Amino acid sequence: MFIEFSYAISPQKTYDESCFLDSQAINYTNNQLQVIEPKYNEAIPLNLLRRMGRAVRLGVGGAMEMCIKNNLQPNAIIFSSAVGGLEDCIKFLNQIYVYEEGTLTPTNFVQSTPNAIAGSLALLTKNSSYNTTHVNGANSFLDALLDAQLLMNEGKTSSCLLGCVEEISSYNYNINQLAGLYKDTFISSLDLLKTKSKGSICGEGAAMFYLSPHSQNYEAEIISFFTIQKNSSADEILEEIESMLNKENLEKNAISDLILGYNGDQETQQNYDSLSLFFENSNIYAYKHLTGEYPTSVSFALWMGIKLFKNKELPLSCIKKVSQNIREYVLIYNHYNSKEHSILLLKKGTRE
Amino acid sequence: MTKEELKTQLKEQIIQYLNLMDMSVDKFPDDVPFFGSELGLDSIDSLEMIVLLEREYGIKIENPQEGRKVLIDINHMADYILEHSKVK
Repeated sequence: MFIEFSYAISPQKTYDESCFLDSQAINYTNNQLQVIEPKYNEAIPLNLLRRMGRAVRLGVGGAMEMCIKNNLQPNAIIFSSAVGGLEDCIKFLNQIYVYEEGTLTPTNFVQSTPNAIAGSLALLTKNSSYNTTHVNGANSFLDALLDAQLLMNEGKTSSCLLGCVEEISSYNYNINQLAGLYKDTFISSLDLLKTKSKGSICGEGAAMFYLSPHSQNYEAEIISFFTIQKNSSADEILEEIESMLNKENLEKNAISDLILGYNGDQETQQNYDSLSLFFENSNIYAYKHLTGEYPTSVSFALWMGIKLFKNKELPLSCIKKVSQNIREYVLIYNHYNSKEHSILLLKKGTRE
Repeated sequence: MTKEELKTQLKEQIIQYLNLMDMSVDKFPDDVPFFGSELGLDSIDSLEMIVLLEREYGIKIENPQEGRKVLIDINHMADYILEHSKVK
């Protein structure tokens, strides 16, 4: 499976790659990293934009920006999100209470369902092809990727728009704060990886990928990927990764770059530290000081891996260790709350 | 409240309920139809305006035929509110 194009909206100016890659990363001090959005002027008609919730706006806007810029017309649309547009969902539920179960408007409800993004895209582009949305916690993105792979293996599509969206809502922020996912004190986001305390900082983002089963002109090839949905020790994760590398006839030294989901939570970093030690000859990168922690942040790691292949320089704060200059294979490992693990192996593409 | 004051208030509420980002009270015409005109409103907007009438003015429109007579333009809507509003 080949990635021909990619696009990300994040708390950094990633929608403008040159701006993100050439400048210093943006620092946040309120423990909530909200995305910086493009203007969507050409991407979404104003009449539709006014009704869109944030999650839908990020998803539809991101996908349309990528498709318009590169003149893409996908034969399948597959989206993923752990929680969808939760802010609109809560607004809708509050209205039921405030107006004593009286007349309600459909807008907030329609905008809050996770499949509103893929559906809106289909309507906007008059695309009646395969259209689905995966909502399965932190594994949603790789589930959607698996769906795309199965569809392509069956010869049912020649291209696929794969998207992933997550938004911060005050509701899930408060719940996750109580659950101990976030730090108790405000920190500078760019210092996240140096902190010695429990918890991370909250983030959000949208990432889009245009996939193809056959391509001569692509940014990266997805060699293998899988999820593990249980508390797993570093040894168990390493065993699974070694097994994957064996299947692909690759030695661990073939992995030139390793992107790890370090999130500043000192209680859940052991797996990342173990992988760093195991892949002692690989370059090592982190990204959550740029995006914050959210369930499907592995989609941002994939976008970042592709930028590495394009010989782009990442902000210096992303680099944890540099060992070599050759970039051939990128391995991505991320876990959310130690329970949902995502592993992705990429190979360099033909287009830089 | 005079009809002119009501129309101004109504415009503010419609802009807020429908999130008409590029519209202002000054630019909002009194007599241009809501639907099929440059305002570009659609059936979901009509539902939002029915909810607006109920929440802000205590007017419940249950008969679709009646709705068509009310949701024509600002003038018609203001006249209907002055005649039927339960909120004083």
